[in-house]
Amino acid sequence: MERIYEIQMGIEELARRALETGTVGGVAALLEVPETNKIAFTLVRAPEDVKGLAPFSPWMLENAARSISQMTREAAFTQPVAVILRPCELRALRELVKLKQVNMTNLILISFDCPGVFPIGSRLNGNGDLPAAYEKAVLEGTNCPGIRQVCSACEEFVPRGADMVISLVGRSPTDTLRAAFPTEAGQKFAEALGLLAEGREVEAGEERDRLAGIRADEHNALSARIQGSLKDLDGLVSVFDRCISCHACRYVCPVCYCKDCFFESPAFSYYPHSLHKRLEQSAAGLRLPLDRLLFHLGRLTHMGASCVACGMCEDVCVAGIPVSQIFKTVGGDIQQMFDYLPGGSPDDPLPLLTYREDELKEMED
Amino acid sequence: MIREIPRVGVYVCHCGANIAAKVDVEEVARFASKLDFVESARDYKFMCSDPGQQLVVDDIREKGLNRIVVASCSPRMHEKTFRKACQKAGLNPYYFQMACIREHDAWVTEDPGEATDKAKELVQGAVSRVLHHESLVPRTVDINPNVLVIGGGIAGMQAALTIADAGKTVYLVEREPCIGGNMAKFDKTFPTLDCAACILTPKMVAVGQHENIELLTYSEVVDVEGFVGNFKATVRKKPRYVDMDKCTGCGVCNEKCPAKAISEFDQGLSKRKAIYSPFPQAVPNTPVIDRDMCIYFKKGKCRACEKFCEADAIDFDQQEEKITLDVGAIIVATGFKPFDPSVAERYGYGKYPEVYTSLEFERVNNATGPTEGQIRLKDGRVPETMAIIHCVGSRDKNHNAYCSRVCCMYSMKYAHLIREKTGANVYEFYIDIRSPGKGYEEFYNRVQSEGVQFIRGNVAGVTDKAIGEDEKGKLIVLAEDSLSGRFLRVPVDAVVLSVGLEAAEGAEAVARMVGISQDQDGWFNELHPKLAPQATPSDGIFLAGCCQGPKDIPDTVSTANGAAAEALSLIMREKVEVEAAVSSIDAERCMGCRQCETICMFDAIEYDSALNVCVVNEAICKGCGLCASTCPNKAIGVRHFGNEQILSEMEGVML
Repeated sequence: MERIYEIQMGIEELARRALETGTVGGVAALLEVPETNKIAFTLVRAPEDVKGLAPFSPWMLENAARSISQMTREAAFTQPVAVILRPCELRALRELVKLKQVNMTNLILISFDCPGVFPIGSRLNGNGDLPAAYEKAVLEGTNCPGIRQVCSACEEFVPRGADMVISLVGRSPTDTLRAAFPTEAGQKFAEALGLLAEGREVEAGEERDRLAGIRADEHNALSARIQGSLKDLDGLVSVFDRCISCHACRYVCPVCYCKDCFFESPAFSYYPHSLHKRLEQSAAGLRLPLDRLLFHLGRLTHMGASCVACGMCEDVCVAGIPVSQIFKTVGGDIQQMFDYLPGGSPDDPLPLLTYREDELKEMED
Repeated sequence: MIREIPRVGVYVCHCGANIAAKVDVEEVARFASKLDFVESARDYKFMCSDPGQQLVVDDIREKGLNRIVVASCSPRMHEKTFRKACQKAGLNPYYFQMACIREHDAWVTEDPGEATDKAKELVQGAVSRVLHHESLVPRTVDINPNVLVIGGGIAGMQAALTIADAGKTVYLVEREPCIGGNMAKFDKTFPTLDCAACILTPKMVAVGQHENIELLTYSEVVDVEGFVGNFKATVRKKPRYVDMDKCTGCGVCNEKCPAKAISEFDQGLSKRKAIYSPFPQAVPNTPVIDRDMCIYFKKGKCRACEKFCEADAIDFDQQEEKITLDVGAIIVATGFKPFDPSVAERYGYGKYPEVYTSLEFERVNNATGPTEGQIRLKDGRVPETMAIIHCVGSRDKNHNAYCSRVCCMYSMKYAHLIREKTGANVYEFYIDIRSPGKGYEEFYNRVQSEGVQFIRGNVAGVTDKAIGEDEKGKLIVLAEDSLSGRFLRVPVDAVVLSVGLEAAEGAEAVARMVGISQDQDGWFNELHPKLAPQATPSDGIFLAGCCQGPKDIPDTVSTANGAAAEALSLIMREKVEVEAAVSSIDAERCMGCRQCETICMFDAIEYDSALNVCVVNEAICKGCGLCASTCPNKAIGVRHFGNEQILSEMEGVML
């Protein structure tokens, strides 16, 4: 059983103290600027800039693992940086470590049990005020209506592998923090900031368990819905038929790490004579562009085993394809097949790179 | 990317009647002549014949063809032939493509109409593909003239001697304290009955004394890196605790050592000391100290061997040592292990003391063995009746389905020896007698005439549960005589189990280390079972002896010489051409995720940490394409098997 401490400060204060004491050289988290109604993932370096730090704000404008990857892929941070991530961002980050796209050196990982986020559109079009219903749902440990579909069906909302785990479900974002420090690095961080001496140990609330129960039911319902809509080739074609081939889903995917997507390479630009031949053979004519379905199947093959179901892809789909729900369902099946949780244990090798003689017996005839 | 206007020549081969009987070759040629960019299309009786190849050469020269498609057999048969023909005419050999209309079409399609259609599709695929071919130039690398032989049994010894006699340096690595392998344990050899030691000892001595052979006993190859002509092998030398340079092999240490252990060499039938040589004629004759059994190592006191060693050769401080060897070719001669019959409970091995394995019985027969060559029961009596059970663990789908090839012959050798030494009645329980070899069938006849009783039938079991008086105190072999249809109970004093051969312990690790594969039974796969029996798909790695399947001594020696000849033929070339159709990584696209490095089974990919990209060592790469399909970014392409080339071929076949 992890030990949870009540700490007599909020997140801004925590960040300020970490910077002031020199425990970290930077804090990376969502930051709100209320005057301009802007919010963005930001790396803060000066204690005076921590005002507006809002890691619990229920929006995800990008999966922050992408930013951490950009900042550390070629060179690690030279001094400790505390990053505050949602559990799906953290798992994406840990998955990217296996793909050598993130260097974890000097990262202090702070995460929290996540009540879910709203689709990006509601922030961009709305005023950014926190809906009252959200606060109530967090307090009670229920799903707030209107959050991302994959969030409401997310069973991995409690972070794994974080150095500091803040208990959010059952609390108000304005409350003082309750947190556990499961790792050695976390313990050191807490000691350096004097958190354990000042804090007192508290019991975990039951709200987290309540939310877990609700999420499990939602997950089953979502899987059944998606499996039903994709059950045969016709289903597959009709679901992806709306795709306009903008490939935005792949741009925002935290695990799609390729520099240039293969599907945008000349391999998929057809020679005119080949298009003409296809036309000759097809009574109904050709719908262009080609390879809409192939793109998604290709991405499912590449990313299925590593999908953390953060929901970014679905949020940006202008055609309204439930991309993330599909990836969560199909990816979940693949992950189950290999008994693999992306971003779970760093010791689990990537399943598609691992040869096991005794696996996939059910695929044999 | 089509750089010049392609002028394709298509040649449809009849292959006698092999293709022409099913496929309308003239129709296929007519069809091909109408395809885009095809300049000339014709059919011919045997494209691989000299005049057939000359057609290609002449057309390239006269008609200015710059792409060639031959529709004939599998590329495994004649791709090289036609690439050479292209080269002869001054065309880059990689501007050639083969369409396989024999194995993939004529031989496997019933209906001639369908076969002709399929041939057209395959030809169309090959034509679309060849348009996208690029000119490639193979590279050459120097070959290191040294050879590594893994395993010092008769196969490894023979291979090493043949190569060393040709003046080349050989490293012979053996994991046991001495060379000789399984053959050193044998007594007589069939069918000539010459004693194994008499023919093996001179070879062992020759190996030990050869100036071109560096013998590394009590050592194991633990890692192999590199590629054909340029392997780097890491060898772990286990500590003997005896200085090989000082030791004179006098044997005093062995005499004085108070610690006893079970003799592995005698198959557990006798004891040896903690400091020991496996057998008297061992090469090298330097003993080793068995650390697990040595009193000094266990309790910190004793050192009797040290006290009595006049040469001052005992060195308790010796440490394990790792050395690296640079070699150009490797011969794998890791041999076999006998099947362990204790898993086949019905034979009573391990339960009844008078049930022996064949290798145990070899030791019983051997003059240096536990009974000094006399056939005696454990209580000292001379047996009156004995049974020999064939095919134990072989031709048995519960264990190994294959025939182990040598058991029939050595079983009959035992029958002869038992008759000769004891006069006992011998029953041979066999399924079929397999005696194909020089003088083998004659030996079978000889043993039959010596009064040995052959009973054709699978043995159901061995028991000591006597029914009648005559069975009391005996082992009873239960069997069906399948010739008379009767069920038999045969009481005997002792049973010899003719156990089959299995791949040696650790074969899997060796296979992984040198990059070769094993068949379903664990034997190493050769490149081609008939035409390249000593080569493997890994260039520069050759097989000798039983590691590729059960063999008798003559065949083992032949394959060892075969492997030696192949290795010599390679290293004498001094330079080797490496395949040009290998993978390459576009550093601009590579994200340095290193998945390709993990997946490559030839260790051909290295990570450049300065640039954060992966790099292919083209000399090692086999062009298998695993990395290319793993790379999500498609930063990796396999030359000659690029997406454009494969997709064009597929379009040609399907559209």
